[in-house]
Amino acid sequence: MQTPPLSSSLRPLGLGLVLAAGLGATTAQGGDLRYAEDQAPAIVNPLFATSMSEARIDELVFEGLYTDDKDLATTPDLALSSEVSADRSEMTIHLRPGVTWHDGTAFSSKDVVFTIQAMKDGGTLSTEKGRVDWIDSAIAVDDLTVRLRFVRPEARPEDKLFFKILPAHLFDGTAIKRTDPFRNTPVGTGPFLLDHFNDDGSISLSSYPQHRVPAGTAQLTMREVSDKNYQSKLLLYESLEALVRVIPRDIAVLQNNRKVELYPYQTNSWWYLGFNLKRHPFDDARVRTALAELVDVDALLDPIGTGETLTGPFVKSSPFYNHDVQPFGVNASDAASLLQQAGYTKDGDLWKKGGKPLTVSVRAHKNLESAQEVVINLQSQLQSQGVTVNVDFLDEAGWRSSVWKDHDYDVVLSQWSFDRNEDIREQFHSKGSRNFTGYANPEVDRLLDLARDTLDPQEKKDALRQVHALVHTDAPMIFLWTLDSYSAMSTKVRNVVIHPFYFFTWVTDWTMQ
Amino acid sequence: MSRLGARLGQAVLLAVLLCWLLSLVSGYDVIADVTPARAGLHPSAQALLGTDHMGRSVAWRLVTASRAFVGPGLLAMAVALALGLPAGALAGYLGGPVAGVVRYLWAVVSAVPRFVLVLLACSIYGSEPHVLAVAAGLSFAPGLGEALTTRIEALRSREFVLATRAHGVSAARTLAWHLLWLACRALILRQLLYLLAFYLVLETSLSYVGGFGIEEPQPSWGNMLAFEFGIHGGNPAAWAAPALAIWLTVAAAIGVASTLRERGHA
Amino acid sequence: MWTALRAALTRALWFAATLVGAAFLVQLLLWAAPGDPIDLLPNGAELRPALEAEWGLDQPLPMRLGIYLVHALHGDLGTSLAVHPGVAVRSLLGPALARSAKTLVLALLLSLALSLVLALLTRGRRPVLRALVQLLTVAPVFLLAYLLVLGLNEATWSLVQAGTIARPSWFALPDQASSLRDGLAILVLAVGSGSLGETHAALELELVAVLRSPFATAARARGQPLLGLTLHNLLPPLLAVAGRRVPFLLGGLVIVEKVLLMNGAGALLWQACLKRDYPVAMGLCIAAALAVAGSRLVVDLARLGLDPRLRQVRA
Repeated sequence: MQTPPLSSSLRPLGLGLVLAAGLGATTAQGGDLRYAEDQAPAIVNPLFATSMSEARIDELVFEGLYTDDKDLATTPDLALSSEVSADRSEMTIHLRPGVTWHDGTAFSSKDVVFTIQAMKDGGTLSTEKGRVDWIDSAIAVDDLTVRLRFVRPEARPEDKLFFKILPAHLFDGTAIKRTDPFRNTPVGTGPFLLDHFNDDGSISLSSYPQHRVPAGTAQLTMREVSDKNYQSKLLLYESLEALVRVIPRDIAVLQNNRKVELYPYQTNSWWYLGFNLKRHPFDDARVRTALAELVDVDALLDPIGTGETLTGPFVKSSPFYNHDVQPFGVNASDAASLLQQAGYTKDGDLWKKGGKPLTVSVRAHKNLESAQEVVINLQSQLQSQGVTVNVDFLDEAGWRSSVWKDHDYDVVLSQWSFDRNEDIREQFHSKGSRNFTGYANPEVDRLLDLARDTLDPQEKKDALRQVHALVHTDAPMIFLWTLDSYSAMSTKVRNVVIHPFYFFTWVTDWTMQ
Repeated sequence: MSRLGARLGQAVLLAVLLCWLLSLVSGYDVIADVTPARAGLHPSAQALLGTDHMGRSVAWRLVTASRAFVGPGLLAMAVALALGLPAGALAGYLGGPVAGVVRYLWAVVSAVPRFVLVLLACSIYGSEPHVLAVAAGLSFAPGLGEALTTRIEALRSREFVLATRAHGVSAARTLAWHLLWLACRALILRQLLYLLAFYLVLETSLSYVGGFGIEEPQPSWGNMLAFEFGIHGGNPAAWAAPALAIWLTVAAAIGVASTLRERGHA
Repeated sequence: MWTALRAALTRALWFAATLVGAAFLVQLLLWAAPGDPIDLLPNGAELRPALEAEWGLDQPLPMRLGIYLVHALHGDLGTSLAVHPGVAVRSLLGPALARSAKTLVLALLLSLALSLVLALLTRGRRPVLRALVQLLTVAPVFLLAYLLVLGLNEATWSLVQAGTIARPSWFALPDQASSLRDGLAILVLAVGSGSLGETHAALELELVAVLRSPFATAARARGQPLLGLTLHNLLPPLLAVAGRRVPFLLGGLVIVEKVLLMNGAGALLWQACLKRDYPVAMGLCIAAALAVAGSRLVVDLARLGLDPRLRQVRA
């Protein structure tokens, strides 16, 4: 392992101070699994989770009716069993008996009904509203039975019942606000209960003794380590036991360390370069395809990590991925002819139309790791091919206003993450709420609607594979890759199984020496 | 500050100026220099300071980065001068209610710590270099103005001023030439050098800690530092060279400024 | 007696006026921004009706300032919009400011103590020592903090691995709250970004002035010990230097807290600025202005008390 030379020359620097300060007591370890987050959760309430750190801590404290088993198949969690009516428009769910909230109150059907009503309530300014749009009504038949009625027939309703259940007895009414007292003492049914929010910003959790599955670790602590430079160092120093996601440049260092184990996991997320189809010349498919053929995607991926390059809006392991679609590849001559067809001529080094050079302004989110390297590389690649690229890195607020609100960009570099449903409708349907590229293809709309409404899984697969092919040809985005993600754990943690999206779904299996 | 120290400081500042001029005429293309295959090379005959982790030449980026802080630094100085000089000079010369009002304005602006003011400005107006420069200039204006006011107030009742006025020289010319230029230019220059040092430290801190300031691929010593910090097994010069450049330039600016203090001290 | 009281009252009024002015400046910066500040918020659309009413966006600027000031005087600084949505700014600020105040005050005291010692050592001579102090302290605060943390961690880790020492409770910096981390913050703040160099230079100037003054010469002629006399006469300028230091230290505090992962007002300001949480950012700026103006007031009043010359009627 190559030690950074700078730090070895600094050892003598700290020696004197250390010998004086090093007479402190040893820390007691074991039983407390400390993990790091880039940003601490602002609120522990599944209705208001806007970041992954919030989703992860919600996974520890709360549970839903259904969850994933280790094969990523839907399995009952708070539900015990269920029946769906013949016309598939009603579902009766039998709840698991003996479940209690962290404060001792018994869990019952009224909590489920309350949660669904709260999500639907207009007074709850929640990001989760859309998750129960498909449920028309929810009734508590008895203490342990809930009946749901759907808006339209559902093929697999249990796949959509992963949302977390909240305790009805701790809220006044179904219009839930962030400021409700619940924020200070969140209570769930999950395997860990929240002990306290500490002064230094960390969160202490301990295993809930009355949980039906005893947890293998007694305590969990969430630590906010916003500086990514420190995260892997802290793991190496044994000040932490887990890193949720290791940044690519630290992978080599951690791999070589015997006390650290790297766990790869595949998230359903892919990077892309999205065009603004409402802007000239990116409304012209020839220009978009030409640019796709000028970009060497493999060369962009190489410096930042490992993964798989893609041709469409799914990960390669997805059943909806269309393996027959061929990537554009680097094809400078074809790109040149496409640009000429679109009215551009090569004037010296630059492609020009009407005297003005072809200029692309690329915007990326500052927080997206490695985005800087990708964009710089992309700029260099395109410049050598005669396309001028201007680069802009935006912070969160700038991203929301420039990209989402004002659509003020030519190309964005970003990534989409999906949960198990891989529902790309919002991104590619002309009426989709996340379709900020302005893409509209009536055939794609039709296929997406078909995929949503059909009860036949094979029909859904065929429809989505066709969508993949169409979207590839239309090229509203250049699909880049899905990155291999690694989490790093101290070898003191055993039996580690990681959920690709929620991370802690099977945390009860993990044991700490 | 010994003569040697002053000479060294001046030499460093001159070197920075030369880098700036070199960067204006050299054809170094920050975009074309990207070659991931040559990432992290240590210093050698071909690449004087090696390459960073995207394969770009550290030496050339170091030189070109002077463009990033000399320009905005000059803008910050212009802003500080525009806001601080006329007001401070007039307040010192006229005294009375004018001085009171101007002093109040300085007190208000300087009540908000400089870094806090710049950070607030960045969050509201975006973090382009001209925003940083204007905010830095604004936050420095009270210091410049206050120093000028005090000095001119002390000087205005001196014999040479009374004599100048008695000879019929206008108040404006007395103020502009005899007071500001002849008696205060060392003080003004000293404040401007402090501002330069402050701007450099500001830009570096904001680039490293918050991702503000000059953005890639344009180099600045701050973002070169931020880009390479934490890279394992790479080229340490890619990180150490900008750090050293910052340290030396700031030390030189402050060192030279303090020699001005000694000569300009009444 | 009356002149002293009048002088004190004038300074108190000046303090209040400065605060109002600072609040106005911050508000002005905010509302002069391009675009609508509500749009920049993460959930701006849904909060628009409530915010427009609360912030009085349709009113002219002086009215908005008035509304804000009236609320502030009642202790209502608004609610956080992005950092901890829904929480009152006042309850976020209180504990954060308390944590930072400790660091700030101790750093100020350390800075003054170190510069006093150095000034007594150099005393207008020893240019090499002075140059060395300048050179060493000129490093930006974040660089100093990062290098110290790196050095300490690496050194400790090698010692722990070699079995020479037991794993200390504060390891690894800056992960956990510990007195070492606090101490490091105080040290870096007191020394870095030229802070020590400037304080030292200022104090040295005053010290030399005192030592060359007629009463010091007279004391030397009488054979009296100089130290007590020097320190007594150095106290007013020392206070003045301390007062001038506060804004610099506040700025440095913001960086130190971010780099050392401390959970104080500085780190909160970063978060608020990054997330465009304007109520929190405004509240913190005003708190900073309060600290600066307040320290100036305290210093002025203390000097009024200490230095009889300032109590005389001005010609």
